[in-house]
Amino acid sequence: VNKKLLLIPLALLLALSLIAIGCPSTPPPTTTPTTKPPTTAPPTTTPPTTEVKTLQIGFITGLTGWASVGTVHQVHGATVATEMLNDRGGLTINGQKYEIELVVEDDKSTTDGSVAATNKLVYDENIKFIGGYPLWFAAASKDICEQEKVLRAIVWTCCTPGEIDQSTPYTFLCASATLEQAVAVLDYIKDTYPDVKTLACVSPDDGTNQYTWPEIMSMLEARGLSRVGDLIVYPNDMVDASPIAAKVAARDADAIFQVNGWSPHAGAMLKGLRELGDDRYYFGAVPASAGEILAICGEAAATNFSCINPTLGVAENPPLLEEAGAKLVSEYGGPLNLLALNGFDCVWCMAHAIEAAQSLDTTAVRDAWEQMDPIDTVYGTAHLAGLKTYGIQHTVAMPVAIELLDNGAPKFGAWEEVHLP
Amino acid sequence: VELTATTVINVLVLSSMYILVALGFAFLFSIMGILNFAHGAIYMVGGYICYQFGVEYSLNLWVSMLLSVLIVASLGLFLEKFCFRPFFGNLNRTIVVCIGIIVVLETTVNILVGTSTRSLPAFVPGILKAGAISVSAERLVTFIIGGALLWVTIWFIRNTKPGQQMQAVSQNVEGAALQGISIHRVSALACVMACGLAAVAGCLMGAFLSLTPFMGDYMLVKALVLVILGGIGSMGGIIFAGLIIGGLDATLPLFISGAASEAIALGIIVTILLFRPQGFFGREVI
Repeated sequence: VNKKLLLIPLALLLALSLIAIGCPSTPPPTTTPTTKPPTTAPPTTTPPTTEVKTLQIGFITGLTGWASVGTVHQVHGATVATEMLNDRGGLTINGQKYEIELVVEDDKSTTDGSVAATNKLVYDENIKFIGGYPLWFAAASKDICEQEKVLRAIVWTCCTPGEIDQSTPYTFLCASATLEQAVAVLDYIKDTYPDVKTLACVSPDDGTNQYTWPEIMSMLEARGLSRVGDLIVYPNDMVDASPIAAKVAARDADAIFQVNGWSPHAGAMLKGLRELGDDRYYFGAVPASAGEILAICGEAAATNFSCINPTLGVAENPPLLEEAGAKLVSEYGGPLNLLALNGFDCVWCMAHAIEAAQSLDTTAVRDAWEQMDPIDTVYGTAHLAGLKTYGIQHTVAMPVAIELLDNGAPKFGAWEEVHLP
Repeated sequence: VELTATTVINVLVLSSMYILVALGFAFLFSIMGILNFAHGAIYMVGGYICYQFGVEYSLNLWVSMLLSVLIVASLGLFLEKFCFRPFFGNLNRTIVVCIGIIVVLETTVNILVGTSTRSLPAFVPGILKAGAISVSAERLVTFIIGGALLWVTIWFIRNTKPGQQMQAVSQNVEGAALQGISIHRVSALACVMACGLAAVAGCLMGAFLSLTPFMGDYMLVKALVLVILGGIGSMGGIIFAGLIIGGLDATLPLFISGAASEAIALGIIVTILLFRPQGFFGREVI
């Protein structure tokens, strides 16, 4: 009898568990009155109504794992873009109001995780617009997204095959990646430091140098700059840069140019060079805030350095950057991180392309996006580019902000237009 | 000449850095046979606690390091009692528990502090110069503290009563217990010391390198390789292994480009182990 009595609470527990599993953990974040997200059918014939519908935009990036040190900022930016778009009234398509709901998935900093997240968004959630895809992860989900005509706004490209090229007609690059940043930095060197003629070039070994280095060599040549020796490549997960810094310091060049990498790379290398007494100018095509680099290398090393990041409060800044930047710093803390702004632009540009198309059909949106010129971004006015570089005119080439470290403090450098063929 | 001198300094500093990080891991493995895969995560937590006190609360950095060591050592006591002791002698379960500890610690720091890279200020700022050769004071401090801690640890094991009890436990657990040695007390002390050493390493590396929630992953691999190459059970062996690994990591990148330098370094170590599977100093030498 006692055993049977024990079964009753167990059965109740099981039943409650099943109910709990069946229920959503949080209420759907739609506005009232809510309707099912119409992400598949184009509402071109929907009559104007006051009812606000929800448009889901997916966003895939690393919330956990090694890359999340940087990529988690992209979610912050995408979230702020969504909030700002909704605060401005959302999207209006053929008279129908839409509020954007950002559906974030964690790629766990792995290619497998990125594909799993894509499968979930595309096949389980039936989402047709996805942003994100840091590093080289866009290529892994190419087949799924292109086959299903899912429009993607990617936050980065390492230029490996299949990330963005002729085989990805539904993919747009909505950030300045390795090549765009390299163009901007080399133009900055040419404009601001005419005495710099030779560069010692360094890059982490993330598997992309074979694709980017030939392009960058052409860029150097086109600007009358020459490199001293081959590209110095070091392990991507290197923690102490001292041995490589010794190698760089031995190169007799006017300045140092880091063609790729991010804040831990640049911070460690800068620290290593300054410890060796090498005070040459260090130009980093590195998406990182000067404040973050300063936190890594320390004040004593923080001079004669430039990286890619906007500085808030500068008169030359576009108003949208000041607004988004202030919101990002207020909600997530500072310093302002460029990777967050890249996440912002993915959602921002895609939303404006949808509104320009006046359709939720991804082919119509793609066609409309291809005709958008100029394009409004957080960095100011951008243009579509990349036909020669990537084989497809799907790069939103936006201005790039150079930030400096000078005598131990960050300061604004310049805005550079990106002229990418 | 300048590059050669700089490389010699790099070999010594990198070696001491690896030895410092591996010391707690090697200590626990040698004495108690606990393969603490969570050592890297504990090392990371030590650095972050020091950052919290030293940067957020503006305490003196050395005091912050002391507080970090005390807190992480207490964590070691907790881990020994609730995570390692129940699975003592069972490698598979210990590994699973360690993976759990890593996930909990990394995720906690990730959520509470954020993933942005940060760094502790230098414990001893400044750069020392001798002609064309220069070395930062904090690298010198890392070298000195690494060497001193290694010496103190070996001295403790050889010359103190608790240290000799640890030796007895490492040689024969049942025999030591029959002699009246409390295995649990020795195990707890070893865990506290290992975690304290990890915290010291985390604090110094947090200033020397940088702090991220995943900073321990790379160092754990180095510590594991170093302990195996030095010889399981040998505290002295890690000096020799540290010098070899530091030497490879400081010189190979000068001649070999990119990630290949790391692969070749590991290849050399594997080749050494093929001829000397027990490592350089085997198990008997403590």
